[in-house]
Amino acid sequence: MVNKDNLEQFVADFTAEHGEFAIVALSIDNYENLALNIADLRRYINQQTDIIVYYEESMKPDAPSDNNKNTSTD
Amino acid sequence: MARVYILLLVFGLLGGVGFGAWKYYTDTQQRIQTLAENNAKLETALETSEASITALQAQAEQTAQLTAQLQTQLQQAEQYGDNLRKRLRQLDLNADALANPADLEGRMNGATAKLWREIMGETGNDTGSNSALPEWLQQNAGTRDQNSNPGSADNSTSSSQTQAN
Repeated sequence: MVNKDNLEQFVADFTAEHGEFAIVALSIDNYENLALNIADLRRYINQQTDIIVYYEESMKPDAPSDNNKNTSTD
Repeated sequence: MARVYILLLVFGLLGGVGFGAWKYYTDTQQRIQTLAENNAKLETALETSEASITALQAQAEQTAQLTAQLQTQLQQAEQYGDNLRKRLRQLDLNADALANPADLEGRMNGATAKLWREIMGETGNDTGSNSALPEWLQQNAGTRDQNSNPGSADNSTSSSQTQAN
């Protein structure tokens, strides 16, 4: 997290570590957008998982019931 | 001679009545047998229909239950995004970044670590909180000062301010 107060220190530290000063910066608004987009991806993954589980449960063969055994003719 | 004719007529009438009775009896017996066979077939068809109806009712009930469960889970999946939007509206990250960037960085990293672990757990990784943080999250880029929040480096996610749940 860099602001105007620690910018010079950041540039110095970064240049000392990496040699060149080339960064990809993200504004606060863009960070919020990124967080919301990741939340949307997480929602999509979870919903797809839920749908897959739904179809798996729907396609399971029924447990043997006693209905057929109990039906008798008089 | 007339008596002979009358006797023949009586025998003829009696024979006709007897033949009619025999014919009626055999026809009736055959009809009863046919009806009994048809009744057995209808009872079998009825049993099959009742079993089918019961199975379809059970299946419809199960489908309704699963659909309701799916609807609930689909809504729950939107909870994290809703909470995040609400949290971002409450926070002023620009002000926090100007006031204490190190603290905000630690909180962001903590929230990212928490989110990362939750996504791993939801997608089948059962190591849970014991899972190692990704390399990119553990790296210290040198942007923090001495008082930097350690939440980005350790395994704790307690510094998360954008909690999902």
